[in-house]
Amino acid sequence: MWELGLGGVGSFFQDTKYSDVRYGGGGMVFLFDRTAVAEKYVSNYNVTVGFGGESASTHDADFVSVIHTALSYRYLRSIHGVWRLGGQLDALDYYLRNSNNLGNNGTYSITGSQLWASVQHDLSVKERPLTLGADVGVLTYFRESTGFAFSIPQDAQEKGEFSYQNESVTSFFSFRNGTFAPLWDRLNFRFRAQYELHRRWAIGYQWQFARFATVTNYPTAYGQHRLNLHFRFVHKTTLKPAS
Amino acid sequence: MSNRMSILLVLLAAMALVACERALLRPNPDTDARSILEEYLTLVEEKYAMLAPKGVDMAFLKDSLLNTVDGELSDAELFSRLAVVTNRLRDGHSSLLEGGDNGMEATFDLLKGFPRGVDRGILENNYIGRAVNPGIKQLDGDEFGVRAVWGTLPQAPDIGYLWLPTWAEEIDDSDIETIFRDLNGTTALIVDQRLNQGGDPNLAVKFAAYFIDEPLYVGFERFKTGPGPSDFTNSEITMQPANSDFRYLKPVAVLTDRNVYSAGLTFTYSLSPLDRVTFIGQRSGGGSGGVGDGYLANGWYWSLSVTEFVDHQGRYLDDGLDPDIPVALDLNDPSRDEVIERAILELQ
Repeated sequence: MWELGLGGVGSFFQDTKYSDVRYGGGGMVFLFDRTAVAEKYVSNYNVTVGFGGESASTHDADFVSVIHTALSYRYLRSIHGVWRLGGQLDALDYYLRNSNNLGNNGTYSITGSQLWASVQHDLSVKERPLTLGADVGVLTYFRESTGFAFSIPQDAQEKGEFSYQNESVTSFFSFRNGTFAPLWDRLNFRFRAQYELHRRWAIGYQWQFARFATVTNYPTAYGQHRLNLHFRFVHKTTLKPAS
Repeated sequence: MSNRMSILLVLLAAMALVACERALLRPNPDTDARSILEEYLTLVEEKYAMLAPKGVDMAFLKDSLLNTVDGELSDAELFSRLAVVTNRLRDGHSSLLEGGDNGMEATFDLLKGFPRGVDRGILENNYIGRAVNPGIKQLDGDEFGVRAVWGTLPQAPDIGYLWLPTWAEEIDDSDIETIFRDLNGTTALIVDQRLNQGGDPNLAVKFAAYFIDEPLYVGFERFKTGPGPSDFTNSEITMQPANSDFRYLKPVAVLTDRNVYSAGLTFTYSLSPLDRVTFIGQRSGGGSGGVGDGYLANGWYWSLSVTEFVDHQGRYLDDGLDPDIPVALDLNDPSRDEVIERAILELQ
């Protein structure tokens, strides 16, 4: 089953390497889903493209545009009727921030892949399916574009790999100089709910939060609340009379 | 468990998680005068990469400045206290901007106390203007009208001349190749970097790489990688030659003036290990550090040098690099650029 989603996002961000000031704002998100449901399992491919803007909570000098995209696959096995367990892989999670007025630190990105442990509970409300799910990030490989002070990854600085001729340390699309982080080094939580309003329409909510520190005692945290409407491309079926 | 109970439990769990969001973020900082001063002092102490080489005593600055804040201050009074720190760094990359209606800013004037090292009128009327040098080529640009000017000079037809007034405007790889192909037949080259206050250091290094045919150790970049005074790591820099048939391996004179700054200095220090390169003109402006920037909690913009380059001889270059041959410009004689003339003499 194919689904197309459109929604609104409320997002937040804080990078304490540079300031404790929280940023917050809103935006839009587009979702493309392909879901297969069988008796024993549910699998889902998803592409998410979100964009928006954030401003600082203590001053109005800065406005930041935010782009967040992800390509992911989720697989869940039925374990007890209405409960499902499994995992999700965000193969390409790309988070980009661009500040209007900053110079070298004006562009900030987190590029990575994440493996999640997932649980899902299938319910029925007014004879319509309600799906509640939670994910915990168990292992992440990610590359933060900015280190403690300079706008190349902390790992590249600490390993002494900087050179103006080494484009991999400055490219926002590079996967080099990233960090493997298990759950205890990078908190990744997600809660999601989806309710079917109609055979073709569903409404969904998702909360996501991530917190990590590439420099000890200077954590970065970001996340979003997302409310979206899904349209399902469902084939019309005609019941044949019993012969 | 009933559906209703399941929904209730899951929703309660979700609400608890969302409540964690606030707990996992640090609270917003205060924006009163003392807090802003403390924030800036901490930023400079933790992030500025050249406190030791510049002899900046942060403990003294903190004690003396924090003692002057007793109660609320006007924006101008607070800014003047923060500016004491900025000015003490004597660093063109380190600035503080209010960004508001008052237009308050603190930054280092690197030209102060230095005579002019170049006169564009003298340059164009005698050396590179179309009227006196119809064969000269150029890439058009915004800030200076040109991004690059190259060819030969009427005063020395065998010697090549390349003026690069900025690194802030893009030059394609194919254009760089064309420039060096055109200069290939000359016996020596004057690279005029005067007025070049920097821009993209990657571009500066792309040009510098045309002057070598084997890897060249140029020094190391010191990165401030943590808040402590000794939290530095070094990246040793060995420049690789350009992949080109038109690398320039003949004698070169690089002209500098006080404007040569930041990426301008990157180009300069990248060539300084080469014996066949002679620096002529005025002490360069410096700006060897890489820049980090951000906002204080009240919205004032800050920038700081958060790295420092130490060259192959162990020299700190933030205050500039002296030329091999110092030459002053005589503005009373509009027919000659003494710096170019001295370079021609050196290369002939």
